Amino acid sequence: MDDGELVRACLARSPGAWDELIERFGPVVYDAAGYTLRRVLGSTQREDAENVVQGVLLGLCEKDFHRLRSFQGRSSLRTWLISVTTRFALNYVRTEKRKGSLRLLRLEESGDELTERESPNPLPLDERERVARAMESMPDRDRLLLKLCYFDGLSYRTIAGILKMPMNSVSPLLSRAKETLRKALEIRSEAPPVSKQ
Amino acid sequence: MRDSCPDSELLAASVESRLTADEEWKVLNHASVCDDCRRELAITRLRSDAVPDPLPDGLRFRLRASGTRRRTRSFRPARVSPAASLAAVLVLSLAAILVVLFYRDDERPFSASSVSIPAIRRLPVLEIPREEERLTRQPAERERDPRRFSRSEEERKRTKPRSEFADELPDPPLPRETRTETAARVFTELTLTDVGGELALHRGQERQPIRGIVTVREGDVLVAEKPSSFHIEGRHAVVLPRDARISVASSAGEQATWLSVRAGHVLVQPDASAASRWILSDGRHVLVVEKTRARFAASREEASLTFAALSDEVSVAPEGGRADTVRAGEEWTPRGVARCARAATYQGQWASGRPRERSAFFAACDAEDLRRGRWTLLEGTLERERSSPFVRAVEKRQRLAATLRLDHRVLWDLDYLVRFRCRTNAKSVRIEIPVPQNQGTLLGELEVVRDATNRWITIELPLRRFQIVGAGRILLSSYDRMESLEFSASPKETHGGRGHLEIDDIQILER
Repeated sequence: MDDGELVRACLARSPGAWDELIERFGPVVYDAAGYTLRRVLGSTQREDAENVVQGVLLGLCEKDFHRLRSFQGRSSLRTWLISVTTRFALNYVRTEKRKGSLRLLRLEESGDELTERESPNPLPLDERERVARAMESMPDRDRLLLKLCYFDGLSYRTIAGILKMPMNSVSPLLSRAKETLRKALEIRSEAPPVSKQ
Repeated sequence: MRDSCPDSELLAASVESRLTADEEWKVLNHASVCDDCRRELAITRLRSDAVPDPLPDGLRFRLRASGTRRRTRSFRPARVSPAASLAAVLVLSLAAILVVLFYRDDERPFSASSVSIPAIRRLPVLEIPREEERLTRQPAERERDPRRFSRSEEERKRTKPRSEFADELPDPPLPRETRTETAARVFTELTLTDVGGELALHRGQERQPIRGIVTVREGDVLVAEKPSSFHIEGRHAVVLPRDARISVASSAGEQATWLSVRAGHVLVQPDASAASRWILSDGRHVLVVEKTRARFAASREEASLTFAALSDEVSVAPEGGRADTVRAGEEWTPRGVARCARAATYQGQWASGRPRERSAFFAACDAEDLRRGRWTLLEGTLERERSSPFVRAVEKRQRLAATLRLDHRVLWDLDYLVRFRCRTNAKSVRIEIPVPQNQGTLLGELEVVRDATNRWITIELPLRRFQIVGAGRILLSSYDRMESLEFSASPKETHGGRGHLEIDDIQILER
């Protein structure tokens, strides 16, 4: 049974279709949930990962399979479920943080939870704001490249895959983006402060 | 997430490169300003090829049960008017009176008169289907999941009869049974490094002695003519005693190393830095070894595969069957787990035969190796002579140069040595390793004697013998990374003819 047939069988409430979906894609969703939580929080509680998995998979069949019906087959079901799970997990972290039930969360405080964890001497807040403002003025592709590399810590291969470019091009483009950022920061530091009148 | 964020399907399609250029541009532009979408894109990309672990049993059954409950239609009381309610009450009361009267009539002792005039025909009794009938109703489902229906006679007797609605609930977990069929796999090539001893590669009718680096694929047979050893992809150490015959390949879909024992036994020490998965086979049976860091032995005994754990506890399972735990010094056979009588022999063979050097970096200089992204060719061209590929240096600024960037970055260690094969007619070959943090370069230079020109020779050069150029002093620490290697020669200073330089099988070795 291919993905499309499985989705149609679930929507038609065929016996065994839901179980098949759980067997086939449950592990994928569990993996994506665990990975996202680990990436954002640094570690994962098993209960949190299970909450996300239940939220995603049961969300599919809520309201007469409204969510599953929205799947149009533009991507494979597997990749779509990974994407849905990642989004759900990020929202889950945000909601649980609001409730105060997650302790290690830094999703909102820093634009970059990974860099902050790894760096022993993080930049002062005003410096970070200056860098963030300078990045806003950069071209979209350069900004995305810098964020994928330094904020998300992705390998050149993964970055090349996301940006649909040869892997050999990542390094020179990254150097160029850093140069652009450096110039933007220099311009900002040279610019006179705006007087309040 | 904001309303302007693209939906998950669009991001998933972007990961799979299924969008039009315009849509792709919009998605990436949005990802450059939206942290959540960027993370979603990155994580989806990273996990799209991952091989996930199975769901925990408890969670799986909860999900199956919850999904089933949600699919059953819930009963909702309809809104009714007071008049209709009154009418319904009256009808129900009348029906109740009639039933009571009829019940009394039925309770009377049997007589001919009572049988001849039945006032109300009794309703047929709803039969609860027996287990066997329930199973025969769903042949398609039974075919699809035979394990679910393959219950023993004893189990059927123990099972209580259930209502029609019991079909909606998931069956309780059954003990797993061993399947005999094995999964079809797609194998890809992998590279063996640090090959030592006397090992021959049998490919079709050809036999070829091997050393150093070699790329093997499914169907190739490695025969140890004397005790031999090697690393798989520079990581997992393998020892073969004399006369052992194995095949090895990579099962890409499962991110596992596939190892088929054709004769004798094999000793393996997986890389301690990362847990690895192994698929062992003897040609008929398949054994899956889950994420092990323990040293183990696989052998083909009495036409069946056996597995011995040598350094730690390991979980093994015949494909599709139940997993067993094998402790250090124990051996798994299809009959069960027992003490390994040959553990001491295995340990002795390991101690005497293990590889004495390890490649911190290697490049077999073939296209497959390049495709895997272990290194990038910055200068030079990848060429092929018969079936053997190599890197040819190109002329640039009056130098012949071939430069490789190491994508698998190597941390410095001055005890390393650089080994490579080279063919040239130049009088000397130079190796340069930039040290970006110190703005200097390590430089090694070797003279090539006339007898060694125009044929493949192996060169080894310890890093301690390199000179320092461009900096007064180079301090190296484990934070510094070796990022590239440049091989060069002068095209004018040759032993005769136009200068050329070819490089193959590059290794940075640790001894």
